[in-house]
Amino acid sequence: MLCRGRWRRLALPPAPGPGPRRAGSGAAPAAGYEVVVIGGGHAGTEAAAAAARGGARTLLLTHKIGTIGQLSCNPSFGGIGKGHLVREVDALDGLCGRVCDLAGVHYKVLNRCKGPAVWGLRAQVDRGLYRDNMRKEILNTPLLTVHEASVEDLLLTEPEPDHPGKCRVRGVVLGDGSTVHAGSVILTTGTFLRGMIHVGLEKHPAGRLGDQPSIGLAQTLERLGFAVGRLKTGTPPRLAKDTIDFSGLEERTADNPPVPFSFLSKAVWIKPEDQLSCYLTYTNPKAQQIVQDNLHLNNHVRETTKGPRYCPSLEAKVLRFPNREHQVWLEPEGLESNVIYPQGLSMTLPPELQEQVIKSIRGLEKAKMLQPGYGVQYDYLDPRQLTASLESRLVQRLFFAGQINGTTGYEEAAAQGVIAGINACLRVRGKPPFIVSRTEGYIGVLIDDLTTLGTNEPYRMFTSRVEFRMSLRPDNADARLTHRGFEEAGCVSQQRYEQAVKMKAALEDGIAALKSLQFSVSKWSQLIPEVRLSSSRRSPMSAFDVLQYPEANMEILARAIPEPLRKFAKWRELSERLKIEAAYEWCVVNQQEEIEEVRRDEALQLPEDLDYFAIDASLSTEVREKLSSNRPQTIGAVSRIPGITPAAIVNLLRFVKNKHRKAEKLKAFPQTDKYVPGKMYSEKAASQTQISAELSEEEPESTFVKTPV
Amino acid sequence: MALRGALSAAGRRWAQQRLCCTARGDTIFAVSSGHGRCGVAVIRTSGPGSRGALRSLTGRPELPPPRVLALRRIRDPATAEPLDRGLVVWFPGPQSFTGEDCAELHVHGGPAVVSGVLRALGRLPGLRPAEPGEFTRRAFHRGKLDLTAAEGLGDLIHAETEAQRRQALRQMEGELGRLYQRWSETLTQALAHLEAYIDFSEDDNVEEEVLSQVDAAVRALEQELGAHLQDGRRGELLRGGVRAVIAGPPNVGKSSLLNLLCRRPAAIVSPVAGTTRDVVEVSLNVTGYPVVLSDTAGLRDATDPVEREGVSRARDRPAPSPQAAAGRPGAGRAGCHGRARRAGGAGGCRGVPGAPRRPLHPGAQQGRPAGGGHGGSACRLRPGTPRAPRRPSVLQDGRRHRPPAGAAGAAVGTAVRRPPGRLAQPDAEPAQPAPGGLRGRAGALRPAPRAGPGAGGRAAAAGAAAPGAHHRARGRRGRPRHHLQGFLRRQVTGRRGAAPP
Repeated sequence: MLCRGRWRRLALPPAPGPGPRRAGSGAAPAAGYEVVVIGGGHAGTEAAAAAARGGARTLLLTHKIGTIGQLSCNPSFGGIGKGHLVREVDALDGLCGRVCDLAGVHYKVLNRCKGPAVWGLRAQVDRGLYRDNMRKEILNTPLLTVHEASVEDLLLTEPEPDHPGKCRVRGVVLGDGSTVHAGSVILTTGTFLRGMIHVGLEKHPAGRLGDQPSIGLAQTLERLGFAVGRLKTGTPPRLAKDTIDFSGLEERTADNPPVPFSFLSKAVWIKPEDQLSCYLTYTNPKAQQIVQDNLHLNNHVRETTKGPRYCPSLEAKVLRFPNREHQVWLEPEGLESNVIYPQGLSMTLPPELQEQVIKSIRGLEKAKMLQPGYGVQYDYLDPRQLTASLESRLVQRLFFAGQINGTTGYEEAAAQGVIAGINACLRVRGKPPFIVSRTEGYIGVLIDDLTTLGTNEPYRMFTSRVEFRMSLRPDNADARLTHRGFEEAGCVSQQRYEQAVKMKAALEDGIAALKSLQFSVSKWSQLIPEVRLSSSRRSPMSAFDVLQYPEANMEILARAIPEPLRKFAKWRELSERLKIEAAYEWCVVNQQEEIEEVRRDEALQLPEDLDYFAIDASLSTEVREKLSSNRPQTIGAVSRIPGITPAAIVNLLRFVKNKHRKAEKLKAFPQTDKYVPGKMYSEKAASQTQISAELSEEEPESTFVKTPV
Repeated sequence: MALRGALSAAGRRWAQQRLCCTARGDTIFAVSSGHGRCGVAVIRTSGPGSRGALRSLTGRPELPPPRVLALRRIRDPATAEPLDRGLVVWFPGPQSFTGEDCAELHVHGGPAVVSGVLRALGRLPGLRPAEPGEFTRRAFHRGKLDLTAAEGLGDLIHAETEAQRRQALRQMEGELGRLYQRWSETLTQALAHLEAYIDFSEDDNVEEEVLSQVDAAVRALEQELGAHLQDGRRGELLRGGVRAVIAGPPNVGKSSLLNLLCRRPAAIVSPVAGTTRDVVEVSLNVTGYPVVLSDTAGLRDATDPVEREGVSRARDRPAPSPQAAAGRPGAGRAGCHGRARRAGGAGGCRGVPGAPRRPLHPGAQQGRPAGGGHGGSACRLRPGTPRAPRRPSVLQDGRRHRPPAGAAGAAVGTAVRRPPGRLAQPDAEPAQPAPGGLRGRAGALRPAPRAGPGAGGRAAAAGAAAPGAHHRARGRRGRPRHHLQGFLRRQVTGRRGAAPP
């Protein structure tokens, strides 16, 4: 969430001059675009840029060009699980990774002591630098136009017959009453749909402090029949750095060398030694007392709306885990900035009480509060109304991405933005959607979880949500997604694609070279005495096997066997990736079979317009209800819905089969589609043994095709 | 870290299994003819390992002609033990139900045969039990599924899962359910802690000791699971029957005990030591549980060649498991184990204190076979693992002993039902008074001073098959055999036992 406060607006640099494709706030945008994106946050910028990269003439509509790329809440990117998302967005040539590397002031890889599959790339970024660089990037993206306007309504028309949905969007109505035609529309309005800010007992409508909410759009969506829920979130107060006494606090320094987010960044913009530190302090019983004594003054907390479980407010922590100290991280907002973001201190008490809480904390006794913390409640859309391409089922060509789908966090929003942007573009072109599978990336898990299972609290990414965590690592995101992004989505630049191809080839070479070097264990022990090999290993061992040992690395191996390993070891990035590949090889091999299975199931598409209550299959009402509300798109998604039985899955398989067959039959003989009821009952009554005997033969040519609906 | 070690070991084992498998992909197997007792059971495999599995189980390098039934002897490849003679069919892919290589084994439907074959299949590398609906899904993936067949199969699978659900519910009730529930919770908790440790880093107060705590919890659980599994096969005992052997020194009343329990003179009894030569087997229905009781020759250094053979047979008989040390005088204990499974509607005798007991027959309410002073006879179930306490508390407390026959039923019931680990102790508690009103004498139960636990001085009756039913003889050496017979006769005729000495 955000907290673009008064101080921030005052410090706002003058808006840059109009870019080549920037329509001024006064001038009406050109009459038609292929893709129109509403909202300029993390989802909106990524969506607009991805659509434009894909070749679509794109319009980005935002309330204020000055707030494009605004970090509304914490001045940081990445984290455990979230760092994976940033890497994957970057692999699809998204913006946030690259922009972070132009703004990071404190890089830290979390989880360093654990395996590289769960390393969490994270950085504190300079709020101003991030916003300016993002704005520059957006304004300089070819085919992308930015226009300052509010959107009040959608233009709708007759649906296309071959897709589900009761209507199709063909444009938007702006605040001034003018219309913009569009092939696809992407809604990324974040917390702005009927946003309501709470501070103490006060509340006023706003999507972000100082910004108007979207009411008209919310009404439009409701009128169209979208199921809408309500969520809440919050942001902490901001403190003046020069009033904080850091002397007694724990200092956390940044990583040296810093690990950049983007595969394109060889280094980060800031010198490693110039990075800023974070400081750690703790709440105490006094702060708890203040919170508990004043719950009656705290509307936001008393509401039953669900807040982010994994980024709770101070009030939530005090209520759920009383009598503990809670961490407060004091994070710098930028190199030049005098603002400190106290992470962990999100609260919605009246401002004077917030000041009391702050002053009760060690190091903050004299701290000046620049802006109070506040809470936001907002409408979100039940994401089960979306397909895996993030297009809505109700309104064709209308896409949703970001916090509006019930997620929390910049990275989750950016990930959805890229996918929505790519698909909005592909949809206009009439191409098949670009869907990242659960087996391919965290993005796939995120979107599949949302669109299949929905959410009733702000959804945050975790590594534990990912089945194939060993294969989906931050280091190999480019190998997983860049090729597909280039070939299928056309959203990846030639330069990035070539780099990914080069890296892939080098990795394959390296692995082949390492595997070809085979020596006995005793020989290895002579060559590299620093690596303690277990003597029980069967001989011979390849260099790739040796590389699995924790002490081994490419440098050591190249010292022992300069030819042919030296050239691999010299390439630092490659040698690190080879080491990780070696460490995970056996897990990945083991997972491959399971991955194949999931992919097979995901290849079995269920018709999007299937009426689960009407189909003639032996499904219980409970199962029908679940299928109907979750609208799984594949058999794989069906199997992940809680409470769906194996029998239901088999029955649905039958429908997939039926559909295929029917399509084939229709193609061959349009009028032979007939229904033979007798056969069904006679065979249904047969025992399984008989059936198995019958089926043991080659499948008989069947004239039996049942009409599903 | 034990956990990491265990995980990586499991992973490697798994990887090895995968690598051993000649072709890609798992091979699955399952009983496809439904569960429970039936005439013929069809066990089906599908996948690249089917060929090897069929070869291993039939013990022949050549396969039968495709899609033709062939009669084969089916053996466990690990032990070469014959499991059954049955029909096998070989369906090479793609002309099979699933489109993969398939094999079908049509074996006799007895639970022991079926589980034996399944166990043998499960031990083959690359084979694993099928999940519900998996055959159908494979058939589907290969484009082999006919619509009506899919529907029929769907119904069948539905019925099966329904049955599984009911069975699961049944198992969830009671002690065993609670035990499994606790294990499941332990694992879930361990997993949750690990995931929290991974997903919340230093800034979320997840302490480093999480790993060692999880490690300890999983280690403890591993041991508990191991102990539980070692005590396995109780369910099999329930289905296949309990084999009990009466063994011990000569002339202590083994054959009389057998006759008493089966209520007919199945074995010849005489006052002469060494009367029983051959193994006499009797099938009994003890309160609903099948029991095969074997009377054996008394263990001694016999001079007569026939008796010597009898003694050697007796020694062979009870000891398939290392724990069953046959013929240790006075080793009046027995154990049994098995996967505890609730016997739906089996006998009213539960083998737990307080539960109503149904005696084997009304006359045999009380048995007090007197043992020869030089040793007692031991009756044990095989395979036996946990031992009853050598000197059960009931004895030391001088409380009344329970009637042997009812106790036998109780013991068998207990043996097949009670979760392991709890086997010995509760059963050593005093039994309910027998319905017939016949009581043992407290004084008679106290072992003679010289008849210590090692020396025996007790003839463990069939009841002692399970730890609950310790039947003790008086610990006087050389007590004449006819005393015992008189005693037994009194039991049968329903007269009260002798007064305490």
